[in-house]
Amino acid sequence: MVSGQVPANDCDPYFAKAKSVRNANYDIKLTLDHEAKKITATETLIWINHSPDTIQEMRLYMYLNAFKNTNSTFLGGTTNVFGQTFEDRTAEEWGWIEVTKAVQRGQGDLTEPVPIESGVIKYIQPNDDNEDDQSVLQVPLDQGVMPGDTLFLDMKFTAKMPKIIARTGYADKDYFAFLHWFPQAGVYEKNRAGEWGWNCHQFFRTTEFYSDFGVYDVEMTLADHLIIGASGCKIKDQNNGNGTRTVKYHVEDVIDFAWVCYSEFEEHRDQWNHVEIKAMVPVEHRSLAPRLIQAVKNSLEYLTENVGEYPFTTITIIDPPLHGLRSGFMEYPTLITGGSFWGAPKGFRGVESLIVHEFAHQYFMMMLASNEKEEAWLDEGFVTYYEDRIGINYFGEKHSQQDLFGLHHGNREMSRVEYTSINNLASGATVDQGWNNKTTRSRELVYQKTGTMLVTMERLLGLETMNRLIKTYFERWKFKHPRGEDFIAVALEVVEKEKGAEMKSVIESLLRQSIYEASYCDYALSNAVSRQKRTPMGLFGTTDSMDYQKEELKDGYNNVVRVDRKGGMILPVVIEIIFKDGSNKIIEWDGVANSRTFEFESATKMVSAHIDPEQKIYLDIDLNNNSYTWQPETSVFWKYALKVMFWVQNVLQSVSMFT
Amino acid sequence: MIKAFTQGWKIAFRSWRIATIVYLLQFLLALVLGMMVYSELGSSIGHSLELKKLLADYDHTVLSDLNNIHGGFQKIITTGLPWLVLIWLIASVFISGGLLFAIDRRQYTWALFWAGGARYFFSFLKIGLVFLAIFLLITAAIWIPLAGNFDTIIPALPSEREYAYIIIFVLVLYLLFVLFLWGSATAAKFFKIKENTSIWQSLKKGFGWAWRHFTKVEGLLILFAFAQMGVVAIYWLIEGASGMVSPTLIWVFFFIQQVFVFFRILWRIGVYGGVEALMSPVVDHE
Repeated sequence: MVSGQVPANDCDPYFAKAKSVRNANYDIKLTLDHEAKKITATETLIWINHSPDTIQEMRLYMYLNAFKNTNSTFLGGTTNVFGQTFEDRTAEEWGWIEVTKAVQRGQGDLTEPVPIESGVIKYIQPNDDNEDDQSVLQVPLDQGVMPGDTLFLDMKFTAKMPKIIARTGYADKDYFAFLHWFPQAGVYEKNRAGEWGWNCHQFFRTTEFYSDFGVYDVEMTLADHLIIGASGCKIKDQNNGNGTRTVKYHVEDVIDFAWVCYSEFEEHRDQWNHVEIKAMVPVEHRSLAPRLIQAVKNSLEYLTENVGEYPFTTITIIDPPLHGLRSGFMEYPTLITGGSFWGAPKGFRGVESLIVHEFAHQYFMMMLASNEKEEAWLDEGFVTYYEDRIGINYFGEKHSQQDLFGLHHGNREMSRVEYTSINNLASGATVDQGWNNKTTRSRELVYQKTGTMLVTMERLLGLETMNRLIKTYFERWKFKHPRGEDFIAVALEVVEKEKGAEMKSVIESLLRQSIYEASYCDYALSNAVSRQKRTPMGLFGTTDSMDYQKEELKDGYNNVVRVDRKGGMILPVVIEIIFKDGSNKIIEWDGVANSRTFEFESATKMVSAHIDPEQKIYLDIDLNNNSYTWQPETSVFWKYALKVMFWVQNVLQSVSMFT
Repeated sequence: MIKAFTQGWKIAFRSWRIATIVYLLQFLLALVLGMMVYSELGSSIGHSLELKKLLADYDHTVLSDLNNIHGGFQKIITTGLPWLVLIWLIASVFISGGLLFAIDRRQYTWALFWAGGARYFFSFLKIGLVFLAIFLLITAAIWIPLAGNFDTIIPALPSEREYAYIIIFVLVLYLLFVLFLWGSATAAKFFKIKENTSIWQSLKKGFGWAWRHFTKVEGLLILFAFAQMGVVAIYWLIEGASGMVSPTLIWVFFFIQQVFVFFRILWRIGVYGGVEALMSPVVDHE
């Protein structure tokens, strides 16, 4: 089917020209048995070898096997993931996926002999040697794929969906989230050392996904009471007359395909320029649909203007019902999953923030398809930065995330506080929080520290330069797999061109320290003294003619300001001194020494001193200790003391009901 | 019921001297924490220019940095408040004794307040502990299963709306139960004063009386609850319109807050007076 022949009421999925290399393409036909929670499917993987090597084996992600038993690397013996316990799971509630047949087109059946474990096709564990982990399948090929050649791998597979766990699975009332649900090719690429090989890590709790671009055709046959939301556009919808229907979706230049179905979905549609927005909401969330759609419209408008064009003609928002909420909060190509609840008040802007966050992933992950398993900061950190910017743009600096009952805060300040509130700020480098860090993953380092670092960068460079930098990065790397070093290279190139070599050095230092080192930033103005000049006092002369001289005040002041670098991060800062007559003095400090004292004279008394008065270094973990004044705002002490007193009085009055 | 409501308020206003003592005691206790906060702010970020941001508005960044680095209010509240609550609960037993005794005698003097407090302290302490235990047990019995079985309940219902309705319905029932318990506790204490019954008999009579006059007791306490909610709403409106955003307004609001607190004390006396007004004819004939 070509452009213009799509069914009525749906979008056009076809691009006139390929946007990516399209080397991993899928044609999947599946049948869903919603009662058994199982799909049986055929899948043809059309994979093009863009490497200089002859490929002798394929590696496939088999993500659903992470939920087969607690010995999987993902579960790692635990019965609690992401705050969800599953101690009482019955046999039917676990999930798995199995390739039952694999044929290299033109060659023999690769799945003989069976079972897979004893045949040439086998599960491998490239990361941790955990033999029970079945999240990566190695498929040796009968005939190697030469450079530039195309592999056609025809497979049959069965997937049993788990009761929802870590994003995917089923919930009551026939709610299904098919997310990372089919055998998917890993990425054959050049590693950092310049060697070609498979990048196909096992599925870890601490990581997400990484795959190649391609074209997806997915045809589902399922009970006709199930309403679908899926990646891409619907190109076929056929009632089979036996209580089932067959629906087909097509999407191009994407790295994955996701779909969700539910018996109680209601579809809401809207349009933003060339983009059709679909919100699939449970009936009881009907009133929230306009908010979800508006959040996407805001994101589209803002990101198009400040990052680049959104080329797809569709975006589907899945708003899970409360009992399927654990499938929410995720991003897939042209499909995002949110998280809301009936009656969510307007001042609770987490509903919108979440949608904005997941939509921003369409840029940072779906188009700039960085490796989420190795460098999650490249998508999550950037998305956090844009979530905050978009929130602030539409709802205000201090009200963008919550504005309820007089309590309000903005996305950006919340992101910074989430980072600065972690127990050990020097516990690890941002870049380490991936597949090689199995036990801990500090979300705050990947998301919030990176987001806060980007704010710092923006403030040092100015918004316009920052926008041009990101636009350049996006244009150069969209529909490719950028790495951290690629972003840094673009950043330094733009900064040097627009702001000069000195600023380039500052930005490089900021990026390297923030991402690759386990350090944090904390500059403090530890002391400031302003003393009026005095004449010398005491006894002067020799014993026969000794004069006593009294101290007398002179015009002018001697000032001493001490600044400390409490964190490991080194950045140049400015210190602003304000004098009583309103004048000021700027001191530039390279920020290298652990402690530095500045002494200077002035005509009038110094009333305050402030490191980084414009708060450009937003990464500084304590902004309160950046300044010192001799005129403290004591009324604030009273304000909070009296407020606390008032609340304590009320608490005391309330707890004494029965006594 | 309406008569008891108005009678309660009359008693409350007549008891202004006792209310003043209660207010001062409570004020002094709260002042301890207030001064700790004052001192904490002064010693931690007192010389920071960021402090100005807290005068004009609530500032999440300034307060979070304060809490992260210095422990801030969090430390004060978590360490200081439990002790204050404990001290106040004990003081409150004494206060109840004094208040109820004065109300029973229709003489709202300090002398009678002190005498009643001392005389009934241990009896009321036992009664209070029983009611507190019942309250905590029932609270746990209702809310823990409802929250703990969230994943099971939600899919079993037609929609999330029903879950919200169930929560609201249970909340209303729970509040009615709390009011009933409060009415029973107050009645039990009055029985102790009026008939000098044993603790067990007082509890039995308190529950029995509140149960027999369920509608009146609940109606009376709901009226009082609405009265309080009205005052809370007025306070929120005033606070929302302005707030403590300048040195003058800080003290204006302090005055308004203290009027509000004093009202709550009068309100508590009013509840006691109202229950007593409902009880008086019954007790007289029993």
